[in-house]
Amino acid sequence: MDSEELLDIVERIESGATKREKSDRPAVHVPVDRLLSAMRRLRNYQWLSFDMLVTHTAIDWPDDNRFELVYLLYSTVHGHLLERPQ
Amino acid sequence: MTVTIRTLNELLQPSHLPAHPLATQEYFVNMGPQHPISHGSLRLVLRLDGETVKEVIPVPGFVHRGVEKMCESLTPRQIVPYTDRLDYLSAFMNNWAITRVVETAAGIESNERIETIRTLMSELQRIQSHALWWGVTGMDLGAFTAFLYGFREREVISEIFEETVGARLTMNYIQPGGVMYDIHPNFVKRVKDVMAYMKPIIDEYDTLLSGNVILQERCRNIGILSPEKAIALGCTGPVLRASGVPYDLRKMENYGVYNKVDFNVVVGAVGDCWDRYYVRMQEMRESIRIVEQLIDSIPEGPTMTLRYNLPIEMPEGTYYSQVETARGVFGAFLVAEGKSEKPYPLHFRSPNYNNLWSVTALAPGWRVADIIAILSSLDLVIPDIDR
Repeated sequence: MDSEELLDIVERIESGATKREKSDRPAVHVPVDRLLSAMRRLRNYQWLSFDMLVTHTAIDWPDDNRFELVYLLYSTVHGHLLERPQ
Repeated sequence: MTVTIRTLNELLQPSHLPAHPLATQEYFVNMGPQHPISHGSLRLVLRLDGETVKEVIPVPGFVHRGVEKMCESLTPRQIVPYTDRLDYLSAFMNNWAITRVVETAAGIESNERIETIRTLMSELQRIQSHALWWGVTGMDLGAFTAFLYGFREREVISEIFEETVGARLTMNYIQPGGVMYDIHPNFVKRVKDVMAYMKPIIDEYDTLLSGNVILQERCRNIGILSPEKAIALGCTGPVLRASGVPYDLRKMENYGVYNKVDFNVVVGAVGDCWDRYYVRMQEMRESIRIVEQLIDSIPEGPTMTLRYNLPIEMPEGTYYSQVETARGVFGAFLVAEGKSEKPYPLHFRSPNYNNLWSVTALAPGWRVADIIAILSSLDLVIPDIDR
């Protein structure tokens, strides 16, 4: 599965997800109130199976008065990586 | 698979104290931060019932230096030597992770010679790191001779590094655009000699320690980590592979010249201390195979594709690159604003941090003495955890 196919599936199963531009890996934005449900779908949907949290971090955007949380997910089943800031 | 990790404060709440007056009183013991098994400054709080471990809470942070924050005020070339000081037994590979992310962000080209040298250095260091781990594990489990043997082989490989790099521990060698210096004229010959020396040495390690009945008794079926738990905890490297998950970035990510060499990903069957031990033993043999395939075919070409005095411009965006170190996946997540050479921010994904937390799943139910074998089998380097 290539990056575009992967992102299409993520957008289809998680209505709040939007593709993140300017990232070297497949990446989507998800609103904070959708975090848990999105994580469950990403883990449980059989074509995604993101079962490993590789790392998570945060980006401080003081000009916008907000933090961006970043989760890097990996599927040991399919071998694909997703960066999921929200 | 859900893994629950409680904080120290939660653990010490009164609800965990025995309610019945005749119940056995549980008690807490601090293992570390200064303890031989911690291999650095790491505190483990053990909740014990007699000799039986009920729970382990790791308390890291004693060597926190704020490396990632410091990197926000450094240029990519200045960041490289900071990565040496994280997992100092995988310095080349840590250099490579930050180099890869910068090269991706800035669109810097490499060449076959550079990639071959990077791969060779990394594999030599993997052998060196595993040899040192083997010696330290022997000492942890009561075999002091192994410690001396492990250091002996480490010394031989350190001399190769010293000749080319000028350093034995903190390398600062793999740089954006290439490597700091070309290999020493003696490099190829010395590497061949050392590989010829190392092959029977690993067999000697097996003769000396692997078959030892005490080591076997202390490792086999002790501290079993299931593949599901290993994945849920984000374990990588030999810790994950020992649980039977064939996850190795050298096969899965297109970096270096790993796609041009033939080697096996070593996996375990049970996920116990013994599998973690033997996966590393076999990985030394596989690394020797990789080095032997590459050492006679280092291509010609420049070893640096960038001019040192030119700034490295990274367009706005987020970038992530990772490499397989001796302990697992070391990654660098970099945000570039497009206005400055400096990252905003930079986050390191260290293999030791995730591997450390597997002790919370491994230790309960085992005896205090088994914690020594379990921790030793995780091969932790603490400054990489605390950063």
